[in-house]
Formats: sequence, C-alpha cells, structure tokens
Amino acid sequence: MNDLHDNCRTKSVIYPILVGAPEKKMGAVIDRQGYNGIEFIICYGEITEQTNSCTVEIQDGSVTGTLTEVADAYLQGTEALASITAVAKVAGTNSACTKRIGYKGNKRYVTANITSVVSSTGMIGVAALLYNPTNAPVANP
Amino acid sequence: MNDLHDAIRTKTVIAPIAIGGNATKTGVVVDRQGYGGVEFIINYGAVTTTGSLVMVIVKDGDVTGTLTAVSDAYLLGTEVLASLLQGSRAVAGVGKEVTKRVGYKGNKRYVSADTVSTVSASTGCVGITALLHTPYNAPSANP
Repeated sequence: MNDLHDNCRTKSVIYPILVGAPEKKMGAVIDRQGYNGIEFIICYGEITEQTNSCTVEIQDGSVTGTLTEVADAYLQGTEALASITAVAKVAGTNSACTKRIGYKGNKRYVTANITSVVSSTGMIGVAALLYNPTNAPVANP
Repeated sequence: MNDLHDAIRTKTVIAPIAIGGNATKTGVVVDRQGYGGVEFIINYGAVTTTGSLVMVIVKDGDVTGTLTAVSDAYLLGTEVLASLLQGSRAVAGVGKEVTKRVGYKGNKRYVSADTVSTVSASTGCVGITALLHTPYNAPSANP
C-alpha cells in the first residue's frame, strides 16, 4: 500500500528559522497520544560556516513540563547522525540536507532541541511525523 | 510495529529558506526508485504577513528535465491543503509556524515540489522535505 498520507500526522517542532547566534532552540512539546511511533525530520538550510555544529537532542516525559533527554536505547538512529558537525560543509551532506531520527519509547510527550555553537546565516527546522495511528484515516492537516 | 525509521528515507526538496518576494522556488527533483510512495512535508516558519500566499505545486515525470504538474487524481490530500493561504497569522500551528503535507501516489519515477509566492514580500521561511516510504528493500540506510 502506498498510502502513508492517511496514516500519519505532522507537527511543527522547530519551525524553519535562522540559526542566528549560538543558542539552544527549544522545540515545541509533541503529544504522542493516538500514535504509536514518531520520527523527527530535521531540515538544514544552507549552513556554510565550517565551524558551526548543530546538535540534536531528543527529550521525552510523562508530563509536558519535565522532559528529559531520551536514553539511546529508545532512539532509532542516533542523535549524532541527525546532527551536523563542525567540518567543511557539503550541500546534501551537511548543508541543505535532511536528516532524521526515530523515537520508540513509551512516554507520551516528546520534543527535539537543537544547539548551535557558531553564528550562522543558515536555517534549521524540525517536523515530527506521528505514525501508526490508533484511529485511521488521519485527518489532513 | 513502531519502526518507520528503517522503512523510509528523507530527501531535501527545498532547503529552509526565506519566502521573500514574489518568486517560484524550484524544488530539487527526487528519484522515487526503490520506494512505493512519497509524502511531501512542508514546513512554514514565522510568517506574519497576512497577505502572504505560498502555493505548493507537486510535479512528476519520467525524466528529470521535463516534470509537469501532477493531476489531482494522483495526490493524497490536495495542494491547497498543503499551501499557506492568505489570512490571519495570529495562531501558531494554523496560519504560521505550521507543518502541512501532501502525498503522491502516481507511478512516475521523478517527483518534485515547487512553492509559488504570488504576493509581495513576506516574512518567514519555508522548506519542503520528501519522505520516501514503502521501500522495496528494507531496512533503509540512515541517512
């Protein structure tokens, strides 16, 4: 079946925004209720600074106010694979590229944060793709 | 099974970029080979301009150089639902800072998506990612 469309929902975690000054961008907290799995899709714009790194951190929790970092055992892929490091930037590899990481834990609330270490004119954004719904088809949007 | 991670691949169509003025942002052509379906995920940033109109156009073709607009019959959802229409920007998650999506169920090998901004300068950013799913061979490598 080629229909993921009616079996998933997307939510904005970090909407597309300039990396700007070095800082930690905090993602919106996503409620997983009604969905059994989640995949974070991290979009990087044209980040050209060789010295810049953007480090992804996945958090989860049972209540929205106290999310903590997820143990690696509950991730599919790694935070390192979803991040970009301070090396020369190549389009499609670590600039103007898309990366992803899955969450297979059982906490209701999850989010993703990104920490950048150098001022940058590039952009980043994170979307959460919720899948395996309890009830399908899923309304769009 | 809660594992979509090993059964998909993501590719950048339009890297996150400022919407700016009237312009068509042409997406990168994505090769569907090895995957049964595509879902385009469109991320909109902090758009504050009420007059902003960003239309999404999904295209497909047998060769990379001649993609044309896809018939609605081959879309899951609609391009309108995936677009950012004119209106209030007061509510995050609705008129701004929102993620939308449209699926492709056609059988052409190459697909892409463009955004067309038809109203003067706009704040905010836009980006599109193609999520290739239903692979012929799994698990899919990451990335």
